[in-house]
Amino acid sequence: MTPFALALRTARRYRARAVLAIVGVAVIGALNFDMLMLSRGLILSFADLLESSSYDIRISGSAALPLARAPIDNAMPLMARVAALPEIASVAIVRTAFGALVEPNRPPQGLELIGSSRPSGVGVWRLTAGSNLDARAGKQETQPAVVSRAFAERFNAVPGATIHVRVAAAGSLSAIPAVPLRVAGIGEFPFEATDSYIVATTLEGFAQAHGGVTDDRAEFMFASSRPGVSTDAAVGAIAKLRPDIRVFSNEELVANFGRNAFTYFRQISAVLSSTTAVFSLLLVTTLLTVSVNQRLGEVAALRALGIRRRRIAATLLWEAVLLVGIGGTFALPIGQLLATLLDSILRRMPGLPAGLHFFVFEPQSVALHAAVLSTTAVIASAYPVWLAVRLPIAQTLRQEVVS
Amino acid sequence: VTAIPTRDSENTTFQVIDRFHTAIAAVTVVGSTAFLLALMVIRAEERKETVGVLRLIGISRKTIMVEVVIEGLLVAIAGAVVGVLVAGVAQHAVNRFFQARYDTALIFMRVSPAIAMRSIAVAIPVGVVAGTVASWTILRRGASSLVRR
Repeated sequence: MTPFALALRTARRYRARAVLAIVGVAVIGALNFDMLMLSRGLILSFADLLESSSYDIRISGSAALPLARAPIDNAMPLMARVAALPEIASVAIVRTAFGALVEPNRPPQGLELIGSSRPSGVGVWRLTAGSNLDARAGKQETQPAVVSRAFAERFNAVPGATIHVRVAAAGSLSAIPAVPLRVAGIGEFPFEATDSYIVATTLEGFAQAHGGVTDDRAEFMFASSRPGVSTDAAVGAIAKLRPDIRVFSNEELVANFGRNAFTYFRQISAVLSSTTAVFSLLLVTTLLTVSVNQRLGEVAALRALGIRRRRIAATLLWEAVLLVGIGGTFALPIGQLLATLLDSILRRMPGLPAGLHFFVFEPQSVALHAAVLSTTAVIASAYPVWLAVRLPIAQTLRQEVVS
Repeated sequence: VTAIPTRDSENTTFQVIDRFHTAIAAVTVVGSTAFLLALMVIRAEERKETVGVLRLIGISRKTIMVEVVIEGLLVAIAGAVVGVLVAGVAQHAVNRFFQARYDTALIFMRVSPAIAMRSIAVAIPVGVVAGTVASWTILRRGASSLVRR
């Protein structure tokens, strides 16, 4: 009989303890797997978020951190110059302002007003219902708007409805009359919090909301490099245009995010994944050791029959591999379910971008999970193996008979 | 003017983190229960002949079960007490690390008497469940089968 077959028979014979050990490893392994996903989840999610915007370059004011909203002065001439660069395929401007929804018989409700130079809203929103800003009929008509789902649900702003928005100046509502906007569609704004009230309109609509006069500034500017041109070359070309701007590639933004944002969760994931690995090790080591101690007579009898130490050691190692392997395999779907639950808890954090996730599955996490569990199985079986191979056969058999 | 109580706005973020840690603690309790259960089952199996003899000389199932449950309870409470002591020692290192990392005087981990008591309180049902299940695995069998006669 092979060591594997012997280990399998032992597990079947002591079914209750084997099942409990597998359950323990599965639960703790699931937590370990989750912590491995958490360690890189935010960075992967953020990178996905940026990639989904189809822009690979972000431009901000010179005083800004990569994701801060430092305005860019003289934005329209800069946009024209960026668009004229041979390395650039497209460029877009986004303006933001705080405002309020002003409707009769209702107190003003705060919102964020966005003005976008791209009617399709690429990089800012994803349309889920209705149509985009390019559905407007003419300049004289009411400007179109795409609103966030939270806004649409709260104020029943379905496509076709008209809303009235007034911007805020220096923290209070301005004296400018509220402008009407026609709701053209409802969209998801992945860079904004899920429950944010957002109204996105054209740059004309944004200017109208400011009384027809706005300074030539932009809070964000996006660009995409032409196919065949490296992002770094495009970034370098834009950066040379003006000294008062900062230009970042998506890779630079992700690297900066990895250094500065939500580091607490990555550190806590490192602490918890180490703790759960130790816990699994302790669990399997204890169970195997107690199990071997209980079967000393059996092991001594096998040795007396001529079974070599190496085979005894291999059997114990297989026992550990079976417990950890089966438990670790069950840990993957359990971990995925648990990750969904934990992600839903963490995503209630105020102000968190709707498109950001804490737990992201990647093959690397599975590989690391398997490596941790394999190491656990080998280390966990070391002490029981040492006990079994150093067993004094005659003395153990005598004690077994006497007891 | 919209007034937002600072305490409430802070609590929203901290409450989310608190719920996250509570969920992780709940999962750990499930894993620990399986661990203790496996250990108690092995211990019970180890002593099945003794239990069989006790049954044959007239000791009731209830008495044996209470003994195993008390043992499970003691192991669970002892484990919780050791856990609280380890956490008490670890809290200084954890706080020092995060305070240095974020350049803040905020306290990230505090083992308060309430938390210590809660840990021990959670250990009590875990010990009772482990002891009950472990005793059931041997007491459901007849005394003669336990002593292999």
